[in-house]
Parts: sequence; C-alpha cells; structure tokens
Amino acid sequence: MMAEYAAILFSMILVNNYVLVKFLGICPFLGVSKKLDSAVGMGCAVTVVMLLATAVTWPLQQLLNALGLGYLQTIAFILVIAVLVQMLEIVVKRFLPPLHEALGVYLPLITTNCAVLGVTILSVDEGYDYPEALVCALGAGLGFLLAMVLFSGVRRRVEEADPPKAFKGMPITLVSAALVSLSFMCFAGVADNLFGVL
Amino acid sequence: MDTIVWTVLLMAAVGLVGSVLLSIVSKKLAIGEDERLAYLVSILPGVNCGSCGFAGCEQYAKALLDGTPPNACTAGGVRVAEELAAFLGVEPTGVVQREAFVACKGTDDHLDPHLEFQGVPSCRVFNTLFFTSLSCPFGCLGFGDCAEACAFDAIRVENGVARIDTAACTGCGACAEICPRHIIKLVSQNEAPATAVVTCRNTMAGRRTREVCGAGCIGCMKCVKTCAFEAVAVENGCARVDPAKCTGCGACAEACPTGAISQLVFR
Repeated sequence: MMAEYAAILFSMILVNNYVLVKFLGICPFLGVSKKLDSAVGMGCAVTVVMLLATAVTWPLQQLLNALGLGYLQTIAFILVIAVLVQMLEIVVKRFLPPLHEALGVYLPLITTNCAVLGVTILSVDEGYDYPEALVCALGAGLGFLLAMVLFSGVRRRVEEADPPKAFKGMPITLVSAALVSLSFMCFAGVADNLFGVL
Repeated sequence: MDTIVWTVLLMAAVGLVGSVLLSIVSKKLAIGEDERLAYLVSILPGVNCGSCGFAGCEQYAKALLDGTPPNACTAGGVRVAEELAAFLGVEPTGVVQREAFVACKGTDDHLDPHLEFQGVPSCRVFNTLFFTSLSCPFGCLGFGDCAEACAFDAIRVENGVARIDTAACTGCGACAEICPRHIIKLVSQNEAPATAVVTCRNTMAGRRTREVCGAGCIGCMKCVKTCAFEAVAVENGCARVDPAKCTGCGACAEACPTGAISQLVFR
C-alpha cells in the first residue's frame, strides 16, 4: 500500500512533472520564476490549491457520476478552484503581505492555472481512490514547486549571462526551460524500475 | 428534464456554498485600508503609466504616505503635484512639465514607402529583425507601438509617421521608452511657454538626406545663424535645440529650408 503511494508521489514529482513533462501551468512557471522567494511562494500556493481542490473535487466527481452529470466536470471544477483561490488570496493578503505583493497578478491567476485543473481531472481519469488522489495532488504540487525552484536558479544564471540580442529576455528563457524539461525526461525509466508498478 | 433540474441545483449549491464561505472569510480576515490612501489614489491620474518609477498609481500613493516627495508624477503635472502636496502638508517642489515629440516628419509623401513587410505589424519586431527598410534608417517606422503604449490616447499614426497631440500628452515618457528607433524625445519646460524642436535625427550627409526625404535636417546651419540666443547647434550633421536656452521665438523654424524644426507649445 505504502509502495503504491510512494510510486504515485514520485511519478508525479519526477516522471510526470506537470510543468516540465506535461507542460501544464507554464504561465506562472515563466512569470514568477525570476526570484527564488517568490518562486517558492508560488509553488507552495499552487500546492495548497491543488490539495484543497482535489479534496473537494474528488467527492464532487462521485456526486456528478451518481447524478449522471459527468459533462459538468470542467465547469464545476473551475468553480471550486476559483472559490479556493479567492480564499487563498484573502488569507495570503492578511497574513503574508510581502508574498501577496511579490506574486501580484499571478496569485488570482492560479484560478486559470491549467495544472490545477489538470491534477483534479487527471486523478479522476486515472481511477484513483480518495487517498490516492490526494497523494497525486500533493505530488503534482511538489513537482510544480521543484520545477519553480530549479528554474529560478537557472534563470538567475541566465540573467547574468549576455545572450545575443535576438535571444534576450523571453526567447532565452524558453530555450533554457526546454533544456530543463529535457533533463527531466531521464526520470522516465528510473521510476519504472524503482517501484515496478507503473 | 431531470438532467436540467439536477444541473441547475448542483451548480447553484456549489456556487452558494462557495460564496457563503468566501464572504465569511473576507469578513473575518478583512484588513482596514488607510483612508488617506484611497484619497491619494483618487488624485493621481490612475493610468498606471509608471513614469514615477513605481509599478502603478496605488504603489506611488503608498510611497507618498511613507514620505516620498509628491513631485514624481509627471503625467499629472503641476496640478496633481500641488493637490498632493496640499493634502500631505508639504511644499510642492521640483515638478517639471514635460512634453513628448516625434523627431521625424518623413511622411509617406516625403519618403519612399515601406518594403513589402508581412510580419507582425510592430516597430519593435520590425527593428529587431530587419534593422532598416525605409529609405531613411533613422525615421519613424509607423507601426504605432508608441500609440499602443500611450495611456492617454495622445498618439496617432498619420501618413506613416506618429504624431503626438500636445494637448493630450502628459509627458509620462512611456512612448519614448518603447520606441525602438529612439526618436520620441521628451522636452522639459523652462520659463518659455514654447520651445523649438528639431523633428529629425538623421546623421547622413545633407545630399543623401535630400535624396531620400523632403523633410529631413540637412545640416545647413541656417538655424544656427538665425538663433539670437545660441540655442541651436549642429552635431553630426543634425541640428539640436538646447531647450534651456531656447526662448521659443520661432525664428529657426521659419529659417529652416526643409521644415525640420517645429514649434512645441507647452500645455
């Protein structure tokens, strides 16, 4: 049982990393990764939203299935996520005003972060039960955090470098994001052999 | 029928629970905002142009409360600075009225038309990728990046060249920053109500300028000889007016054979 949870957790963090392998949630990944502290703040915020959202949407999905309203999945999930993000924003504004300022517009934008919607929908699609879905959400959030932290480090080096004029700013950032993403491809085989369940 | 009823009921229930939760949380965790802040924000122009050096009007208002002098808002000009100073109880000092102008008059009838360009219609894209296409490598590209950047709707592209409406321009400098050819310039007002500005930046030889554009500075020195205040000088084949010395008499603009000097009247 524990091995299965561990397998899900590690596969979500490394093998199926939402940002670097599945390419979900790129907007905050590029937008907030300039500084390490705001990158960590964003990663934690997204992790919390993912966990809470999955905790609510998984039972909601069972309700939808029972009523035969499966087609409402996307819109109902978005509604739940929007409420949670609004709540998170109020809490962060109250208790962590510097973080609120550092994240700026990207905090309410978690609402439309497709990584959050992705984790809620995919954990249903994979047929996980409730605890498995939560572990999956936690793994996805931690994976997002890891990607943000790694990339903010890469980005600091890029800022110091002097790329050709045509590559300055966003182009070189996208190229380095691609390279970081490429390096995550190597985990594909590792988890398979480590846990032998995937 | 059942499906519709259940759909409406379910979505209404989710929405209701969410809104009740949100309103409770926002009431419980509300932060009292400074009333002075709201008033200061209402004085400021509210276009978030960034000319004060802060991210937006609200950030500047916050900084004002922390003791930043109320002279950074160039968009609001003298009027806003005075209102802010009166409210904060300090002297309004060091506010300079600025105006922007486009240093190019090479309209389509003066210049050869653009090459066939099918890419993104943006001066910055064009300038990055192609460096030059016009017969004059110094002139306005006319895609209107500046007009897009202007928060006050003061810029129009007419006949292939950007024109700034002096009445609407606040001198915030957003356009000057965005122009890839650096031909939008800001002039600060001194005592004179107007100043002469050279609306050309080309450093080519006079003959070449004549060939490609009918409205460019050819470096003929007529303006330098005309000016009674030594405010005009020709550097690198292009005239420049020193706004600190210029009295706005307009003699140089009259003397210019190509019409490359204009009068700019301050607001």
